[in-house]
Amino acid sequence: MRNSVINKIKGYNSLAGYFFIAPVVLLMTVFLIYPTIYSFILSFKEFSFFSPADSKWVGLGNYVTLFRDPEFLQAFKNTFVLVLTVVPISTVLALVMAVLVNSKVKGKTFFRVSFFLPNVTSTVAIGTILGFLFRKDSFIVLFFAKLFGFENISWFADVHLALPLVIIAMIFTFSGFYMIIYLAGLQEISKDYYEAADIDGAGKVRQFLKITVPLLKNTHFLVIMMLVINTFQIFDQPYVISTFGNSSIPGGPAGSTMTLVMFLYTRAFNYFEMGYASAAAFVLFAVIFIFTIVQKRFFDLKEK
Amino acid sequence: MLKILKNTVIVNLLLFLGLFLCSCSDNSSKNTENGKIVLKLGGWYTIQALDATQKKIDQYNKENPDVEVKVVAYSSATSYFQNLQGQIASKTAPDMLLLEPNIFQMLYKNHAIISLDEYIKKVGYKTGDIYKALLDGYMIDGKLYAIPSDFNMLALYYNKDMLDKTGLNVPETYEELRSTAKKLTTNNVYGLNINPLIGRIMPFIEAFGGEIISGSGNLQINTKGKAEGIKFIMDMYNKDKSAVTCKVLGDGWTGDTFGKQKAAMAVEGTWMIGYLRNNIKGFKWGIAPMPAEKGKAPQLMFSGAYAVPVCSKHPLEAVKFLKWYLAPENVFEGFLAGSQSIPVQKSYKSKVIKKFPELKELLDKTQNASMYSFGKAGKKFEDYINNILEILAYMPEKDSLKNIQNELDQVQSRFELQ
Repeated sequence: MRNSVINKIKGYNSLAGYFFIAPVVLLMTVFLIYPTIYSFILSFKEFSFFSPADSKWVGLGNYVTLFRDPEFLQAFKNTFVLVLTVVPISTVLALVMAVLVNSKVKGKTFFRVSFFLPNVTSTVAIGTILGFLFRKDSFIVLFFAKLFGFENISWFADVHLALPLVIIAMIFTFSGFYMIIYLAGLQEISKDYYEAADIDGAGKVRQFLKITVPLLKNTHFLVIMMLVINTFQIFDQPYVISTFGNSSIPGGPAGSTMTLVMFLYTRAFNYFEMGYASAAAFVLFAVIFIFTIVQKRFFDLKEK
Repeated sequence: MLKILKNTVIVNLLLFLGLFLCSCSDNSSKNTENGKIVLKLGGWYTIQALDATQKKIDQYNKENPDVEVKVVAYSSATSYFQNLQGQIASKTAPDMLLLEPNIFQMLYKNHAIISLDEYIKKVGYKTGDIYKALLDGYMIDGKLYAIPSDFNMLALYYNKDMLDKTGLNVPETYEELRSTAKKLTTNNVYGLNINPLIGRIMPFIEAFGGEIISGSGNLQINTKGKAEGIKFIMDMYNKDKSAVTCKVLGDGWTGDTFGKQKAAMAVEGTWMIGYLRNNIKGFKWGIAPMPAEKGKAPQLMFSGAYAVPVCSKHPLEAVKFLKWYLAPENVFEGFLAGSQSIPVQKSYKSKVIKKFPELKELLDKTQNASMYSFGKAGKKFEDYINNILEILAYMPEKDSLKNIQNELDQVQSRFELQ
């Protein structure tokens, strides 16, 4: 009798459990799993939401066309340039900033807030402000013109300077956030190491290189992995900067700021080519996946 | 493990069923409210235009108690078309869709809009008075798929004060345009503000003998005149340094650049008139048709139009409303209120000129003007060619005549394939 009551209660408990997880499972299924599977199927079709009935199965056609499409290849190249510049610079900057605000400097709370502020500021606002700061005749443009012999031209209107402006915007936004992650990592390191190093006569730089950097290995992995993923998926900063100053074509001037996500966005929402855009999305997924695996292996190897 | 999976699936299936039943509520109820037929008008509007539209709609609703028209308004064409995609897929699109020619082609290609001939006949809407170029832009195989709502023309704006000061006349030929722009260029002012967009450069191309769309409706990109027309404007940007884009100056649009007197002349649509009239007080300005070359003065018209989607349950009522809404006096009322829309009826031209004599020279050229449309190539071609124009404008090393021709050859082969 007693056992059957206990079993009954257990049964109710587990049923209640299913009801508790059901909303999340349902939301995940409707908004994540189903769209992902549907999008994967679409990547093998010529598909438009205007007339789903007219969709055609094209097999690997969309993927083949992608790698022959000069605009996709340019978006691919631009995104790689962003990854190769933004990731190392933001990582180093975030680490240096974290060490600075972790030390005994005066007004470190002010610096912590200042460094983190760009991350909580709207990307559109940052893009617009940078657009104004780097426009023709502005003091920054004139400063670069005087110092490095650059032309006095709005950076976002120059094919060679628009991408560097995007890089500046991204580093400005990203560094503060990753500084917080490094700060958490730094506070995990025991002070004993530094005291021992002090006794042994190691200087601050040596301590940083031989203690701080190696002991933050897991944080490095997390920061670099997140930065790589975020940079591959970048859309907002280049979109705002490229459409600054009477341009309706995202990714300009002349495709110099076109990124992979912007490419798939224009294909899906400007030209209504959902199949083609889905193929681009899965190529992006594959690239990020490979990068993450390689990074993981690299860090694992270092551990051994 | 299997039991857990089974129970999770059952609970979720129940929830799915609930959601499914909710979503299956009677759709038709959305098209009638309190016995009234509900019509939705979709489009993108500025605040002033939306205000004027709402006032007109309120008037229509008052005069027609059996119908209720509602506006589904978006602040930009981009967000409107993005939403439209999902609305058409879910059959919830507005009954009347504001379209521009290049998107119109895309909707037609995807069988998303219906032919309006039958309904136009039923409600007695007369299309014979509409400018032919505008009507042709929305006709396919002799059938009309959208009713042109209003139009604008590309024009040459000039700063009267600057021209008077230098004793120069308003340029009437392209050579005059180039020499005048050179003479007006100083350290602080550019001679001409023109953006590297096909919608601004098309008259240059046509003046030099090029045609974007041939008589048969096919793209004709790589003909000789096009490269020369493009080269002409690129030389003004890169060689003479007398022409400038808004982007280089960091301005939002031509209204800013011309309004702040950073350029003495500007090539822009007549939609800028309202802005200049309401915001610019410090100098006198004028408006003229695009210049001529060898006696040819190609002009460009821009027009929006309203189409009815396949999913509309009340196409007849929709066309009946459009007949009333797009009546020239209503459209002109909007123009006066600053919505920048000139009525598409030829017979109404004299009334517009009477009110705005400065538009006479421009409107007299409407007969030979072509409409801004790229036929079946649509929006994708528009963006593609704009991208090439940006490359040429912002990379002076690439703007040789040979390279321009080469780029155009590539466009031709790319769009022939599609």
